[in-house]
Amino acid sequence: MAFSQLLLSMQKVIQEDQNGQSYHEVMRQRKEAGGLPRHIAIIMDGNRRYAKALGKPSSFGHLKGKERLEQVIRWVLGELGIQYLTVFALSMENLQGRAQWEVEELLNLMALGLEQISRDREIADKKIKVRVVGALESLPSRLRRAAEEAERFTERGGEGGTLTICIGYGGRQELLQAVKKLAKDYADGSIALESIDESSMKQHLYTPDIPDPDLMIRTSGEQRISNFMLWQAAYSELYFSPLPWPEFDEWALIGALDDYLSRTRRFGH
Amino acid sequence: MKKGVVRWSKRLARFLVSRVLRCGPIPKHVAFIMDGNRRSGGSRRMKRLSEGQEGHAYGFLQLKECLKWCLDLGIKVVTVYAFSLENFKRSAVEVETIMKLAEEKLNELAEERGFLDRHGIKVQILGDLDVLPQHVKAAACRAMKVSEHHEQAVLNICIAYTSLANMAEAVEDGTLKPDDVTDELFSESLYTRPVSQVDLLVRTSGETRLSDFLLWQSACACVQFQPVLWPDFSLWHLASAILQYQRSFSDLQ
Repeated sequence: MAFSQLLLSMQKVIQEDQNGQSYHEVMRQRKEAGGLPRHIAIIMDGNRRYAKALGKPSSFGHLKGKERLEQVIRWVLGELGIQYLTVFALSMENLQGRAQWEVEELLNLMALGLEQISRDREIADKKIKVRVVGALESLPSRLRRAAEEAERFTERGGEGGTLTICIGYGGRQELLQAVKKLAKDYADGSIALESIDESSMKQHLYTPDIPDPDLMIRTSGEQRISNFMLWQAAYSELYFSPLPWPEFDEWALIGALDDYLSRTRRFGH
Repeated sequence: MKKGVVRWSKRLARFLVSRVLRCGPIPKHVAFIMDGNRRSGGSRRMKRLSEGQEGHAYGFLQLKECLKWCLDLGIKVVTVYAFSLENFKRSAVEVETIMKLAEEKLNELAEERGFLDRHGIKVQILGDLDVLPQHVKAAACRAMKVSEHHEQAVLNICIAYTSLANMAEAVEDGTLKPDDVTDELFSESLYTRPVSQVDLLVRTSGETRLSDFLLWQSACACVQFQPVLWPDFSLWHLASAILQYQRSFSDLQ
């Protein structure tokens, strides 16, 4: 990890020197050139690894991760003008599998973040819409209330971008709840068997109005999807960054976008 | 004499590689997205194996080689993405070439049964077989019939397949009560039953996307994207993918 950090900081120096430009300039250029993804999804992995490498407790890592998320939201929705950003904050497996005290700390941090959103004038002015999806009924009441409040506070937004936060989320669970809804509709007689197809499945997912992610980024070097947006990721370009999430800075984001721009998307054709 | 020595030393290398890898955890189910045939038109290695054949034909020979390596390593289930429903939108000439090749190779598999019998491989063709031309469908059914009693390993060939279509069909097929719907039931309704999980997914040619392949089953798979084109995919590439799987194995648990 130290070696990849060194490599990336060297890259950063070279980039700044070559262009002599700040990342604001570079982001502006990318935005003007066009071709950017409409929807970016991020698996924010590596908070604990980051903290451990610094010899600090994992709550430090999560705090830094939250700060990094706030920055990335500004870069993606603000500077780059990308319409949709979805982040994987906490998986269903993490919710059930990790130590109780750690999960509680993390959920409190998320509740705090969502409460801050409901008081943030900048979010309202920029017309950003916030959605929270996942198994919300299994989350503590403070977090649930904060999520509902944040959604209500921003429900008239959308022009400035949509941020979807996945908490207690599982891709398979999302698909299963869609299947249950379809089964129920079929049992009620409100849907015929022949009309059950891919689009009817999509309609019953958590966010049917949001287009599928064009680019999915996973930080911290792990190369797997970990049950995130399985249906929607069918044709997403995947990008794996070796950096732990708190170190995924502006240049790493630009690097991911440049990689995306260099790909030819064929959708099977 | 020289050729014999080379062949013998290659066999030894394969044996050693497989022994070393088998010291660690071996994935039970490996899936391959065999991308890069069109860009290849055949590498030097493949040209030695068969003169004058095109990219897709190389791809098939490569598949047989890869299957042998997987069996050596003790991998029980291999699933390959041969042709997607979306691929039908390609040029008519290409689609026809692929269909003819599929029919030829499936017939070959069904007729020279030595390979399947020797390794106890059960062949399953997954996908919406009804949209395939009649001859291809017949060849597919024959290949499946001939090997249906084998139990040692499974080769799933996905033709006219997309994961989304399979999942939608699974929902449509089951007259389910909402309360019956569970993880296991859904997995049982997909083509790949009874296997519900992919352990390692390898995509060649450097593209880093899933392209609608085994989305449900790959939820927790170790995904390896390799820049090599499929006809150039060698045992060393497979070994490197398996090593990555072994590295992340403890995290997966």
